[in-house]
Formats: sequence, C-alpha cells, structure tokens
Amino acid sequence: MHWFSSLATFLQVLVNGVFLGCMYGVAAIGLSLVFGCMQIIFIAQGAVMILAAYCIFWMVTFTSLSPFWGFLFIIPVFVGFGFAMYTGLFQRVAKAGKNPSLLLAFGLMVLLEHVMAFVFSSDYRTVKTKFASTALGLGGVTFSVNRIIVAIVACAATALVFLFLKKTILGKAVRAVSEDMGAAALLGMRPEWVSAVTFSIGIALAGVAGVATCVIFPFDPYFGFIFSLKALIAVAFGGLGSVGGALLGGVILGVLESMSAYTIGGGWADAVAYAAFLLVLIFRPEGILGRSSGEKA
Amino acid sequence: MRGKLNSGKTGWAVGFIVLAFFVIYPFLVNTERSYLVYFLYMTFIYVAMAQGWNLAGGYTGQVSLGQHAFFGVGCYVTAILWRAKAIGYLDPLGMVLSGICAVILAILVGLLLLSKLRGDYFALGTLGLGEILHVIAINGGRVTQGPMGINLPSDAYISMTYYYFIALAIAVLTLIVVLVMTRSSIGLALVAIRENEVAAAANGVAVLKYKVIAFAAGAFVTGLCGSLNAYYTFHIDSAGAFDLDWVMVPILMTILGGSGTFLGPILGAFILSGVYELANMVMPQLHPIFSAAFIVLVTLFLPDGLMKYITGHKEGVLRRLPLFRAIARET
Amino acid sequence: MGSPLLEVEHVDVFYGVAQALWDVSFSVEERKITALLGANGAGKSTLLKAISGVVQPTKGRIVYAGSPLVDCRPEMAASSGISHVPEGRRLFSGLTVLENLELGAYLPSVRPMTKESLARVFGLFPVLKSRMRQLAGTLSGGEQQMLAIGRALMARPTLLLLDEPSLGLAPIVVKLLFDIIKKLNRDGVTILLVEQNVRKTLEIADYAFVLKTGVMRMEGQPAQLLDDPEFRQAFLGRIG
Repeated sequence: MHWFSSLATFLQVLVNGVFLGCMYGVAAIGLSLVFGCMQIIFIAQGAVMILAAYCIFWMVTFTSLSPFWGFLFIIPVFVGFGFAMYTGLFQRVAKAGKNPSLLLAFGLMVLLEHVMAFVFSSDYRTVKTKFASTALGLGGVTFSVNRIIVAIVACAATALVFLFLKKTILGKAVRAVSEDMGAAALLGMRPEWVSAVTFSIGIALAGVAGVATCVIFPFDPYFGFIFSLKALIAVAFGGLGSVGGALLGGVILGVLESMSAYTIGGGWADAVAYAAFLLVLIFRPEGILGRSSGEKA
Repeated sequence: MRGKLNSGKTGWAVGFIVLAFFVIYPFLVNTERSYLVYFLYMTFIYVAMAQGWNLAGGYTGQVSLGQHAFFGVGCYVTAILWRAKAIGYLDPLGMVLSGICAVILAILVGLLLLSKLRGDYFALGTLGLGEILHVIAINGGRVTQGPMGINLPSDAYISMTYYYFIALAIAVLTLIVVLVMTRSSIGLALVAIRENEVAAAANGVAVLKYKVIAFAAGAFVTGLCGSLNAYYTFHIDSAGAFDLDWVMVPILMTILGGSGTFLGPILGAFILSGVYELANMVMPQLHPIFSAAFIVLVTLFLPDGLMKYITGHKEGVLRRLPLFRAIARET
Repeated sequence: MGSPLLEVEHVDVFYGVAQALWDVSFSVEERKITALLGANGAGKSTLLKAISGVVQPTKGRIVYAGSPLVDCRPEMAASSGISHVPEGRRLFSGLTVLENLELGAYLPSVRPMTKESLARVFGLFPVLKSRMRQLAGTLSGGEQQMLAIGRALMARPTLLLLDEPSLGLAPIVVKLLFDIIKKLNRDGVTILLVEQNVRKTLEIADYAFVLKTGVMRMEGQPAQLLDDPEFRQAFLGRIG
C-alpha cells in the first residue's frame, strides 16, 4: 500500500479522479437513457464513442480545426446516426424481447470495432489540442486545461439532458415511456418514436464522450469496450433512471479508480471497481440516486 | 397422435447415426492434419459450453454473462495443478477437479447473486465476477504467474485424437445431463421458474435451489472445457482464459439455434462455427467483419432462433422435410 | 335517443392460445353511461383493451363514430377520441401530478388547450391542484384514481373507458367518484364503465351489459336487471 505523501498529493489524485469520472459520467448518462427506453444494456456505447473519437481524429488531420469544435458538430451527426440505428435495426427486434436486442447491440459492437480496425488500422491514435501541455495550478494541485474543458462539457451535457427531460413535453414523454410504455401509448404517445428519440440522445452522448476521450487518451478500435463496462458500473453506482446519478456515479468511479491506482497499484484498480460494482448490485441495486429496484418480478 | 412414436424414434436414429460418424471418422483420417477433426474438436467444446449456458440461461431464464469466470477457473486450476505436478497430462482427475472448483464458485456466487438479483442485474453481476477473476489472475503473483501466464510442458502432447474424443465425450455428457434434467421434474421446475417465478414459488417450487442447480451444472461443464483448453494450448494467461469470447460465443450460438430448446445450442454451435471457419478461409482479412455482420443479420431476422423458426412457422421450407419434423418433435 | 357511438360486433379475442372473448357484441350509446358488469376474469378488461387497441380481435369488428377500427394501436385510439383509464390506474409514479396531467394532453390535437384542460380538471378535482408538484406515487388511493381520470380527461375524449375505478377505495371516496362520473356524463362525455360494484354502478348507469366467462350473457336497463332473478342470483346473492 502506498499512502499519500501530502494533502496536495491527495487532492491531486482526487481531482484527477473527478475529471476521469466526468468522462465516464457522460457515457453513463447515455447508457442509462437507453436502458430506460429499451430495457437493455447497450454494450456498444463504448464502440460508438470510439467511432466519434476517430471522426474527430480525421477531422483534425484533414482540417486544422481544434478538436473542441468536434463537440458541436458531433452532436447533430450522431443524433442522426442514432435515429437511423434505432429505426433501422433496434425497432425491428424490440418486439422479440430483450435477448435479441442485447445480442444485436453486442454484434453491432463487434462489427464496429472490426470495421474500424480494418479501415483505420489498429494503431493507437491521439489527438493533440492547443492546450495539451497547459495546466493551471492551484494550491499545489495541477489542473490540466484539456481535462477542465472536458469536465465543463460533461456538466453542460448533463444539465442539458436534465433540462430536456424535466422541462420539455418530449422529455417528459421519454420518462413516461421508460416507466410504463403501455400507459403512455394509451395517452397517445408513440413508443417507437419516443424510443428512437431517447436512443438518439444516448448515441449523441456517446459521441460527446468520444470527443472527450480522444483529446485525453490514446485510443484504438477496441478501447471502447472497457469504457462500456465502466459506464455500466457508473450507472450502477448512481442508479438507473437518474441523469444526475449517472454523472455522480461516474465521478465516484473515477475517484475510486484514481485512489486505488495510487494506493494499491494500477492492476488492482480495476478489481476494486468491479468489486464495488458487485457490492452495489447486491446491497443497493437501485444505486445512490436511482428509484427502480434490482428485484424485478 | 398417429405416427408420433415413430417420429420420436426417427429423431433418435438420426442422432445415433451422426454420433457414429463422429466416432468413426478420426480413425479414417490423419488426425494431426485433418481440418475437419480440428473443426469438430472446437465445435464439440462449443456445443458443451452452449448447452451448459442454455440450462440456466435458456431453460431457467437466468441469463449469465459470467461463463468466462468458470472457463478461466477450469484453465487455471488445471494449469496450476499440472505445473505443481499434482496431476498429469489429460488427467481425468484433474479435469473433474477443475470442474468441481468451477461448481463451488458457481454455488457460492449463485447463492449470493441469484437470491438477491434478477434479470439484468444478475447478468451484470456475473459479468463483474468474471472481470474480478480476470484481474486476480493478472495480479496473482507466483500462483498465477501474472499476465505472462503459466507455461505447460508441450512435450507431453501425444495426438490430436485424444483431444477430439475427450471433447466429444464432454459434449455428449453435457447433452445427456441436459436431456435427463429437462425431461425430469427438475426440467419442469426450471421452465416454471422462467415463465413465472412468483407463481412457481407459490406452487412450492424451491426457486433458489433449482436456479443454483442449473447454474452450477453449466459451470461444471464450462470448467471441464477450460481444463481441456489448458491441456490443448499448453499455455494459460489471463487474457486468453478470461476472454469475453468464451462468454459471448456460446450464448450467441444458443440464441441463434434457439435458447430453451435441446437442439438449439447444437445447431447454433455447428452453424456459427461453420460460418466463422468458412469466412476465415474465404476472406481471411474481412472475416471478423463478416462474422459480426452475420450476428447482426441473424438477430434482425431470426430473433427467436432457428428452432423456433423451424417448429413455429408452418410455411418454413425446412418444416416440410420429414426428417426435420421428426427431430423437431423430439424437442 | 342518441346513436351508438361505439359498436362491437361478434368479437373474439385471444391471449396466445387462450380465448378470452367469444363472439361478443354490444353497443354504447352516445352521451350515456353504459355499464359492463361481470365477475373477476369474465373478460371485461379484455373487452376494454380491444376497444382501446391494446389487444386486437381475431374475429369481428369494432366501429367507432361510424368508422371501423382496423389494426388499431392504442396511440391511434387515443387520437380518435377514446381515453382508457386502465385497471390499476397505471400512473407515472415517478412524475409529478402536474406532469402526469400534462402528458394526458400529449396529443398534438389537444396540446394547445392544455391550460384550459388543466383548469377544468382542477375544477373537478381540487385536491389535485393542491398536490400539483407531488410525485404521483405518493398520493392516496382515491387521489390516484382521480389523477388517472383527470389525466384521461386532458385528452378531451368523446369516449371514456373506466376500468374498475372503485377498486380498493373507501365507500366515501367511491361516492365522490361516482358523482364526478355522473357530472362528466352531464357535460357530454360518453362513458363505458367496467365495475364490480354492482349496486352503485346501476344507480348511475343508463344501460348495462353482463359478461360471463367471455360471453355476453345479459343486457338491459338497470331496473330490468334488478328485477331479473338470474341477475339477482348472480350478483346480489340470495336476497330474494
């Protein structure tokens, strides 16, 4: 075990964890939304994220735009992509139950990974930004500017989704359909349309997470799967059905990983995350902020 | 029903003919160089693992995403014991022990998770279990030799024929166990649990006990396969032993063939293996893409699996073949 | 005498291989309260579901306002003016009272009138106004039933289907509820009321049908039914 040498070090590890967590959080919100409407774990969330990362990589390579513009342009593109994916693929299997949908997501993930590996090669890519080596210092703790921007974007994305769900009629319809599709249909809401919208938002969030990832980590086509798992764990921590919970869960996971990596070593950090995941599933399946119980009859 | 007894016997007859072929074939060719022998070896293992998953996942409705935990345990127990010279090459005692370790793990985990979690949460819990074991294997120090893995004496290799027949035996054993279980009152209990757990409990079915039985039986078979894998590859590392492919491929095969049916996993294993190998031969560069596209297409157009399509659709071409009808009726 | 707003003709409904309704026919007069009575499992809820599009009849047809409903999905029934308050209410318990009501007016045809519809519903059910921002799941049984009906009213329906609204409610609340149902009918809403509480239902119904294990057995005006010995035997016990 390796203890913290000073308060500043502790804070540094904490802050790094929070920033890491924000990225998990954004992917997690998308996962939570999709689970709400389709009742499946969209295991391909990470792969979609990496697809977005590649888009930004090639955008930066062929134009000289700063990758941060990617946040803006990826959203409409991926909303469209998500809509197409839902209406073209998932809508067809929705009737057949959860297993086919889960399997479709899995097949899609593998397909995306392999296509990207084939087209883009499996080399690691990184995206540099103007701020790559800039950092702010505050009381002995350094904040990398890249990560600050990512954290801000994550919070903004969360706020936007939250407002959408709370204030707009479509957002309320999304929440209603997630809770009781039959009752919603009786009131005139079309479940396929609402599900398509929800799914598209989830994909767009994956896109945003992808942009965040590419400026911080080197990535390859298979990087996404671990992210899917981490997003899943974040959702479990924060609670299904809660947008703020997903972000919070992500942050908790990020901090947990950061702390474990520093104190016990990188290899065990993952084990700690998975163990915490299991514990939460067993003892508090509804997560910290969630409402739905893990005991489904 | 007129002729029903006959068609039941037809199903069995076909099964025995196929089995006889599998038994005789290796003696007709050079097993070291025969591609079909290798293909069948891999497929038998997949049949066993798919059918093992089918017991808990298909019949009982408890989807587990943690088969790789049991497979990995099987690999590592065999590897560790063999390296410590506690067991020998292709030692049946070693294999059974590996299977038992998997069962113990399954019972412990099963009791814990199955009593508290349902549906997706159970699936996620098993996934987490597998990943935890994966990390433990990486950090296991001298016992598991870390990420480099354990090397085993490859000079112990004698012949492919042994592997082939052991795999066939494991597959047949699994099929027999599943057949017996599902035809008995255990099978009724499992399906009752899948259809309506609350009603089953209200009718006196010891839900947790049967769930754990199904889960543990599948784990045993998977552990056996892991053990055989260790003997085959002569090298076990955490990435290979706990690869998620060991989870997803058998599940895919079962769902493709039809989960909750007897023939489903068998069909699914042969078809998916076949597609995979064919793609590998015809377009080696693109074959992972092709296989993944195949998965996507199957889930789109055959979401209920082949067996349900064959037995359910009256217009299905295959349905008209009396042979298929006969076999289908057996399930 | 109004014309039939709804006509159900020789309808069969199956759940998988189990048949729930056999050759059921009946009609609902415009601007009247029609009651559908029967024991548990008789098929009353199934019949309502066939009308609102939740299940599809395998035989026969359903004609609403002159046009047959073919392959009707719930969303389509709702936009045609049919509001179904299902068994168990099915409120969105994670959403507030106000949000539930707002979603009642989701249909594009009625959404512009949400404010007026809300005022109307709050006028009928003042208690909902006082609990506007509370989560629907925290309301009492009676309040939840009122919310469920209020939500259905937000769509300004011409036909209101009520599935056992009095279930689980205290007698005082039931009286209040039935008074409101009468008032709604006076305001012009056609009502099809499924109930097990026979006495109170017959007090307000204009006409009643009786379903028994999936088959339409009896029909008549309340007074006629109350005199019928078979009816009294089945529903009112041994009271001669």
